[in-house]
Amino acid sequence: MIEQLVADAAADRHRDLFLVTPDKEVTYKIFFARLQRVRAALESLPAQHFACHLPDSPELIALILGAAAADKSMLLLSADFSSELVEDYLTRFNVDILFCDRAVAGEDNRLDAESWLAEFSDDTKELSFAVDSHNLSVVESGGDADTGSVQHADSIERSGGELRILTSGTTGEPKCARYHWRDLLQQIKPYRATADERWLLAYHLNHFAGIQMLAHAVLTRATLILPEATGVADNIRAMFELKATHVSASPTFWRFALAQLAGDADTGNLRQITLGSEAVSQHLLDTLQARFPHCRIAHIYASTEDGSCVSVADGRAGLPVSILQRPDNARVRFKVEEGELLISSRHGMLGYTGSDQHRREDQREDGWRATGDLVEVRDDRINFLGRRSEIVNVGGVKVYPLEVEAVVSELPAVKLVRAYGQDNPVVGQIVALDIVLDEGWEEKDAEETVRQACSVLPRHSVPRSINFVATIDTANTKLSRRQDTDT
Amino acid sequence: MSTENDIIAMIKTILQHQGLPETDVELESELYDDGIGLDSLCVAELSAMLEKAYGSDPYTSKVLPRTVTDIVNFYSEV
Repeated sequence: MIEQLVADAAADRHRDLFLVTPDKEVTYKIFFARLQRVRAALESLPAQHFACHLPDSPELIALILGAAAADKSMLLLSADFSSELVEDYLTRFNVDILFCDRAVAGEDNRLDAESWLAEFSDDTKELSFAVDSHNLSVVESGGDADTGSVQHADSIERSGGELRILTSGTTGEPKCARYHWRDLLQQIKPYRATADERWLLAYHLNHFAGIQMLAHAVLTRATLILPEATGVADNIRAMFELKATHVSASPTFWRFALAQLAGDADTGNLRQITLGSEAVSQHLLDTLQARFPHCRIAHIYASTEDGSCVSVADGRAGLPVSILQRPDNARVRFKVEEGELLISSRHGMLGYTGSDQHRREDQREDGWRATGDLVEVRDDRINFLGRRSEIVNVGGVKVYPLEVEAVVSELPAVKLVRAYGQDNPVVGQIVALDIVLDEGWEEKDAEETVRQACSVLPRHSVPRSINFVATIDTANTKLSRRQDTDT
Repeated sequence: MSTENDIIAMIKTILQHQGLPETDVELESELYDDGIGLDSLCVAELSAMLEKAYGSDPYTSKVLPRTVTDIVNFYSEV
């Protein structure tokens, strides 16, 4: 299925670009040739479960899609993981072979899996793997890869291997979601991208949102831009230098990006901004629309478990209540129960690794999953109050960090803000704020304006501790609202 | 001396955060209902302020100060 899609794209878009990095361009045609070789190489191996511990790169994408085409499972591990963590996951998820770009095993090879070094230098023609006992080489055929005809791979009928993605783990130990490529592709609204449509990969490929982005590019035949590194500044540079027309990223990413973006930066190429992974505030939507008046701005509700559920582009935060009326046979249905959003999705994950293969254990027996997102239905809108796990309990009164952040983030003095619960001996928890100040503001004046603004909040919601900080950490491009353990 | 003044200033700040008119706060002022009138949320804020300024606070240490002097003494005993 995957190989067929790439084959069709290569035939249709002979010389159009599939992947662009700051120093590399890969056409659909070249990529298809590479994919066939990687798929054949992986097929030849007497192993079923692979893992990758590699930075986002054309080579990683070849392995991900190659494993899908070869009907093998692929676990994606963050390139930032320590060797110990990688070892742990390999054991826990029964991985046979790991592809990595540096030694994970160490000299005494403690790994349960074989570790294969993937080499990406130009000398080795892009991609090769080496291991003592095997000698797998997946080497580019040289400079003539872009000549000759592309054959349609009409006979390919493989179902596509299983993809294994770790959940973001913002609410505890990450779980490993098993995905079928068929379900990933079904989440995408099919359309044909224009030849100049370039999407910035602002999420990592080992995150579900990054994989969705890859699936989107393959299905619509768009071009995917891979930034050199993963910081917001790297993404902004790639956005401009490599001429991104579409950017899919989190609200947290955009808050950082807006803070770093020069006022006169030419953003003329940008045509669409898609926000996902977190609830978006009306203030951010309005700010983005004012900064990028020519852009279509959409926000999507998606999760690793349920996949992409709904996309909204009417310029308003929250979701329209009309989604609660979807028919029983809809691919994704929504309902609100006791203030929490519930979802029933038919194109979500297969289940978590190591669990019952017949039923998704995160769903209730009636097929609904409690999302952990607390909402309030008001008039024609479903508004997000925050994650259940992020509720602050102030003397028995529930406070939602998003409500506090919404008030504070609108202030001109505030570049970034994070509201969270801080343990307190008197009332259990108090609301605390971390604030990154905008240039030219003194802490004293800023605190005054923050306190003034917060006076509209109910008493229990008023921040009792305000800290001015140089930066705010994010977990997987989401704002972490859990109290640091050392504070 | 400065600890005393700092703690009195903190309490005045908290009262100001509540939008209350400025009240005289003295060393022997009672902190709660019979005196300055700090309620649980004000005390929670005071405990966070003290912890931030001095690295510890009487409430976390299970000491319940009754007057401003009790707080000052907590730190002089540390």
